[in-house]
Amino acid sequence: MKRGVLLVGLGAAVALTVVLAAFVGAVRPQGAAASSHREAPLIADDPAADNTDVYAFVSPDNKDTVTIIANYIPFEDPAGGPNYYRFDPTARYELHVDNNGDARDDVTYQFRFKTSVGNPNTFLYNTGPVASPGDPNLNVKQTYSVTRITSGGSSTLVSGAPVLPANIGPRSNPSYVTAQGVADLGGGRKAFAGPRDDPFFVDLGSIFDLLGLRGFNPAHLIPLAGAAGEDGVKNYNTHTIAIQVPKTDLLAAPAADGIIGVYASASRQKIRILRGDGSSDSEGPWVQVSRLGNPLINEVVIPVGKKDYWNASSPRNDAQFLNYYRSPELASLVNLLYPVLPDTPTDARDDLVAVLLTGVKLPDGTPFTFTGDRKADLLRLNTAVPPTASPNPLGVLAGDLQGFPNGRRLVDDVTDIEIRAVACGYGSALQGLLGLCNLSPNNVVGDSVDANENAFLSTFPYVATPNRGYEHTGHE
Amino acid sequence: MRRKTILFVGGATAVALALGGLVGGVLTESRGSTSPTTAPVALADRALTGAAASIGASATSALEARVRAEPKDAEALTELGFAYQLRWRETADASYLPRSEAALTRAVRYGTDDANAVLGLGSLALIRHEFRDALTYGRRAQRLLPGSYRPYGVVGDALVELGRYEDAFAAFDRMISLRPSLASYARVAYARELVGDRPGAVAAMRLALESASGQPEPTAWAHVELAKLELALGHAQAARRHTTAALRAFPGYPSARVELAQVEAAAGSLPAAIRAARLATEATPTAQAVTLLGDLLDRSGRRDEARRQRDTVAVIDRLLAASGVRVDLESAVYRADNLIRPVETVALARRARADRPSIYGDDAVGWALARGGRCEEAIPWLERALRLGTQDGLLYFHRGYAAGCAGRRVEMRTWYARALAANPAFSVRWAPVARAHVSG
Repeated sequence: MKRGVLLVGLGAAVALTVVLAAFVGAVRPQGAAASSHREAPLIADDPAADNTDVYAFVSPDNKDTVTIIANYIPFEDPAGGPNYYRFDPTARYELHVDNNGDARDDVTYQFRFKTSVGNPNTFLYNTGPVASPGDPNLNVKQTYSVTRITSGGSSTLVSGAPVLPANIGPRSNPSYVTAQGVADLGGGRKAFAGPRDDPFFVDLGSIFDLLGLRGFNPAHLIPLAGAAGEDGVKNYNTHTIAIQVPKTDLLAAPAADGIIGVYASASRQKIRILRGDGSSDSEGPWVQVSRLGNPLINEVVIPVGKKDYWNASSPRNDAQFLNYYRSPELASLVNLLYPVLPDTPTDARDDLVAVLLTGVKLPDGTPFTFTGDRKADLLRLNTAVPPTASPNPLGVLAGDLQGFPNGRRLVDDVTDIEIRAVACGYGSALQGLLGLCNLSPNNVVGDSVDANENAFLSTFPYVATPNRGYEHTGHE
Repeated sequence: MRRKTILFVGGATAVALALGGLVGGVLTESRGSTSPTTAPVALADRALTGAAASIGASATSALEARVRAEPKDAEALTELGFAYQLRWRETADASYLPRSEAALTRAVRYGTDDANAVLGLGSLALIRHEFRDALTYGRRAQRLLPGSYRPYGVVGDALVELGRYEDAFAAFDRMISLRPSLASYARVAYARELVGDRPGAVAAMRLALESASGQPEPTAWAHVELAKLELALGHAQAARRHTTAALRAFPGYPSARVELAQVEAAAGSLPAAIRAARLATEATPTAQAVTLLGDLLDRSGRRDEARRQRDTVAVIDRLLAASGVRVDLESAVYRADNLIRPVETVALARRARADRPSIYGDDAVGWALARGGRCEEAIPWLERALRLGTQDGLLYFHRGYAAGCAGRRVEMRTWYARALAANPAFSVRWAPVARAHVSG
């Protein structure tokens, strides 16, 4: 969400968000009396409930399981002490799975957090080296619970599981052991919650500058010399929640494989002004404040005036946003800003509707990621496609059927994939397989940032160890 | 650099700087009394504040450059309009407000009703206490942003100040239904405070604090609000903890410094309170900070110094008025406090109430009347000010004062006792008066 208006050429709005965020607190010069108008914040920047990315894939090292990862809190500065970022105990974090195409939750994993402060009289995050999440030197500790909710009821899979601490530096964290943050849920099931290196990679700096793609700078309406891409998320951390469970935990029995639709969300609880009815603040309804299925939808597809509404709405009702998918503003911008490229169609984009809202069928009618006619922005994963030994970051566009938009792996270069899709450069593989448009050279454009700066782990939770504050010497 | 700034922003800044000097002029002794152990902390404080303030400054100049290059870029103009409001909050330099208005007005024109620009104008109207205008802008933003929580903050805040509490609370309820967040939890907290549910206000503000997720300024803001609520409830230790936490989250945060002075005063340490209030006025000479310092000096018998602070308040209020900020209500209460031209003050309070028919508008009229000796006439206004059940010690005190000046001493003492029970530190200036009557 915070990634704001990525790609839309409206980088401005991101800066606006920053200004508004700063605007929130601030001094309140006022008149003489205490009765002055109270200038409370108007806009709430809410990083702890800001869902930035979702990933879902068949686990490469455990083919019978699926891994779902959701990230919250964008652009965490690793050196941001002493109040290091953390999950919000008053928010509710959820991973939602639909397994029958109606875009209603069939299985939900709900993460809740608790914070405990050892000594409230110090502002120190830790008072000595921290060897583990339970270390007495760690002054601010978090634990979490995971509850699995189905139509049959809910069950708590784990509670009191430790959240990994911040990765501060060689004195505070002589070692940083990711495995200490992996909770065993039994039967090969696992959960994780904690800070990580943000696995997203994208050239934000150039894309915000009128949809610039440094590698293709000479082709832009305002040409510049070509250059290598710069990863704008490099060296930033995020907070990850993740599960790894048998496929059958997610699918409708008795299927061994199938196509699931996944999204993640964060919610906060409504409270009432008048409590005279004896109601307590813990009784209000939960309100979704951010959601994410396919990457970059809120940024690329949904117009500025609808973003708040989109974030609060359910994917089940996404047909109301259909026109933004069929006639994407981004397509017009690509045509305008890259006059040398062949024009991409700017309306009747049923290809995008299929990829993002319903899933795709093969020419013989077999569903590849298709889950039915119900339009919903979900990340669709066909669990029958086995993990690839050497994944191609361009995923399905490169003929690697295990990659985005069949689910999403950490390595998938979703920025390039989506730019090419919008520019009608699906590549020869998809042109051959599905008859999708394949303009050239639109099928090779991209932001020239093709991989994350840190290697991913080979085992759950896969997301790389958080960047350490000590090494953090500013962002380029 | 400084010279350039003064030239650029014109007269008001120069006056603000002069004011800074004026306020700082009485500071020498408190500087001398800073203990060696606190000095490095204060230095670090200063350095960090400078760093934080420069973020707003550099963002503003970058945006000004953008607007110079593209004078019709509605988005850049909107951002610049908000950036000027941020600078006003950082510096208390009211000359930023007309410039914010100019940028936002152009943004609306070139952006053909850009929703964020309209919200910006609404926010500016709130800052200037133009609550009817704010309501109009808020309603317009609602039409432009269907389903968004954002405009409800402007609409609800305006309705509160217009005394339309039922509508205001409905707007806040809608806002929190759309988006529970720092912004909406804070408004529920204020509404609860208005209806007299102060523990509920604390609970809601705690949720606001959690939702700030450690971001420096919002965190500091919520801590200061909690400090005020806790101090009113007589929980001085909790108030001090929140004030300290606010200054830790945002070193040098001006309203936290003012609150620290309030906490020290409530704890009975006048020298510490004066020191804290001086630091606050030195950092940002707001009317609030300078008034508090004046009251504290007055209470310690330093009437000449107190008078200088009060002269400064008058200058600040004139500066604000020159930049389009209406401070009639605040001025009326202030003038009534200090018995400045009572007849004119009543007229001023009536005008203020016409603009702001809230419980505090009623209170201002009642207080001006009572201080002008029109005691019986004051009482219905002061009764009206209590109609929501707000547990505000100052409202109770004003009510009691009117009873006293009407010759009903027992009734007066009952109200004074109620004021002190509601908030033992309700006013640096008037709480000791109430206490003297109650115990005497």
